[in-house]
Amino acid sequence: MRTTFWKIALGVAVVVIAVLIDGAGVKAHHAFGSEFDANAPVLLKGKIAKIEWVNPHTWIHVEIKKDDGSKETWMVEGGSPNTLLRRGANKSTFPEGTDVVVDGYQARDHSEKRANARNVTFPDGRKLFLGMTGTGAPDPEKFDADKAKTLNQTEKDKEKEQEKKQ
Amino acid sequence: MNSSEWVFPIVQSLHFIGFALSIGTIAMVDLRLLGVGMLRQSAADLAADLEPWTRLGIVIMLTTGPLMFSTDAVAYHFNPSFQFKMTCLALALLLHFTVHRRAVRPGISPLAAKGAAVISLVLWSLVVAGGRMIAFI
Amino acid sequence: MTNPSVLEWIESTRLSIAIREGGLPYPIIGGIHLLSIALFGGALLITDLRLLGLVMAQRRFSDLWYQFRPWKRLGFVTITATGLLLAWAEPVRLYGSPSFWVKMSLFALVGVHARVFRAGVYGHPEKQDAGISSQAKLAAVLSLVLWAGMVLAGRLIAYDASFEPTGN
Repeated sequence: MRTTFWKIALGVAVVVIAVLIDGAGVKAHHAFGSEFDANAPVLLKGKIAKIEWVNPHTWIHVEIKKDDGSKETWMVEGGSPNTLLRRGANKSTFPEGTDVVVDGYQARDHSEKRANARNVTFPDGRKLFLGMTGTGAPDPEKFDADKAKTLNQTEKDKEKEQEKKQ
Repeated sequence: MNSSEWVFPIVQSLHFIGFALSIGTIAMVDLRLLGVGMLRQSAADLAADLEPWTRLGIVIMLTTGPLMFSTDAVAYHFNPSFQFKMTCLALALLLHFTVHRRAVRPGISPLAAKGAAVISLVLWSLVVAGGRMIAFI
Repeated sequence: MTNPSVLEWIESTRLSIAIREGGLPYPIIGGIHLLSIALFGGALLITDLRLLGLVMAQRRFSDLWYQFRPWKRLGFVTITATGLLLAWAEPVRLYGSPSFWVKMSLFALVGVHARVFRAGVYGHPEKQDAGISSQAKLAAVLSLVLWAGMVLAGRLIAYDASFEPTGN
C-alpha cells in the first residue's frame, strides 16, 4: 500500500515536471498574457456597434472609420457582467451608436481585430474601467495613451503626433 | 492547437482532479463524522484508508495551483477573491493536519467531532467557491 | 453556422437570460458544479482505485460500493443539474463548440459503460469481494479515462468559445 502510493506520487510528480518543462512559457487562457499583447496598446475611437453582455466575459464591438475611409469592427473584451455591475454599469450603459473611445491591448495575433479593454470613455467624459479585477493586464492607471497606436487618427491626432516628433 | 495552448487546460484539469481527490476524500470523512454516510467503517478506519489519497490530491492541487498562479502572479495577488481563497485554504489545511486528525480518533466527544466536520466542509467549500469567483469579481 | 431555432428559443427564455447576463447566478452555478465534481469525483476515484486494488484493498468492495454510492449519486445529480443550467444559458455558443460535443459524446459513453458493466460488475458488487475480476479492473480503467476526458473537454470549451464569441 505504502509503496504503491509513493509509486503513484512519483508518477504524478514526473508528469507535473514534464508539463512544467514543456510549459516554460505557459500560456494562460483568460489570463491576460496568453491572449493579448501588453506591448501593443491600441486606442479605438468609434461607435458602439454591439454590446454582448454575456458570461463569462462581455464584448463590445466598436466600429471605427479608418483613415482611408474604410470601416472595420473591433471586438473588445471586458470583464464579466458581475464585475461591471459592481462598478455601476449595465447593458444599457452601452447603447448602440454611442461615440466612444476605448483603450486596451491588441490580441497577440496582430491580424485579429480583437483587444482586451482597459477603459471606455463616453462623449460626456465619463470614464469606466472595463477590465476584470486582476486579469493580469497592465495597471489601468499606467495606460500610456501617447504610446498607443491610434487606429483612426483625426486631423487633431495627427497634429499632436507631429508635435511629439518635433 | 499547438502544444503550449494545451498546457493551461491540462494543468487546470489536473487541478480539478487533484481537488476532487483531496476535497472529495476529506468530505467522505466529514460525512462519516457527522454520522450521515460511510457507516460501514469507523471514522478512524476510513480516515486512515483515505489519508494517503487525500495527501496525493493535496500534492497535485498545490503543484498545479502555483503553476496557474505563476502565469499571472501580480494580478492574482491583487484579486480579492484569490486572497479570500488563499486565506480559507491556509485555514483548511491547518485544520486538516491538526484538529481533523484528532477528530477521527475513537473516544472524542461526538459534538467536537461534528463541529470539526462542519468547519472542514464549510472551509473547503469556500476554497472552491473563492476559486470560481476569481474571474467574476 | 446554422442554429436550430429551438436553441434560439432557449436563449430567449428568462432563465437563460438571467444566467447569461446576470451578475451572480453564473459563477454561483459554476461553483456548485465544481463542488459537485469534488463530491462525485472523490467517490468515483476511490471506487475505481479500489477495483484496481490501490486503496482499501483489505476491505470488501461491496461495503465500499454501498457506502459511497448515495454520495456519488447525489454528486452526479447536482453535476448534471448545474451543467444543464450552464448549457441552458448559452446553447448557441455550445452548439458551435467542438469540445462541448466531445464532452457530450464522452457523457454518452459513460451511459454505455454503466450498461455494459452492470451485469458483470456494478449490479452485483458482492461478486468482487472474493477477488476483483479482470472485467471489473477494465471497467475501472475505462471509467477513470472517460471522466478525466470529460473534465479536460469541459475545460477546453472555454477555449473554443473565446475565439468564436456569440454573434460573431
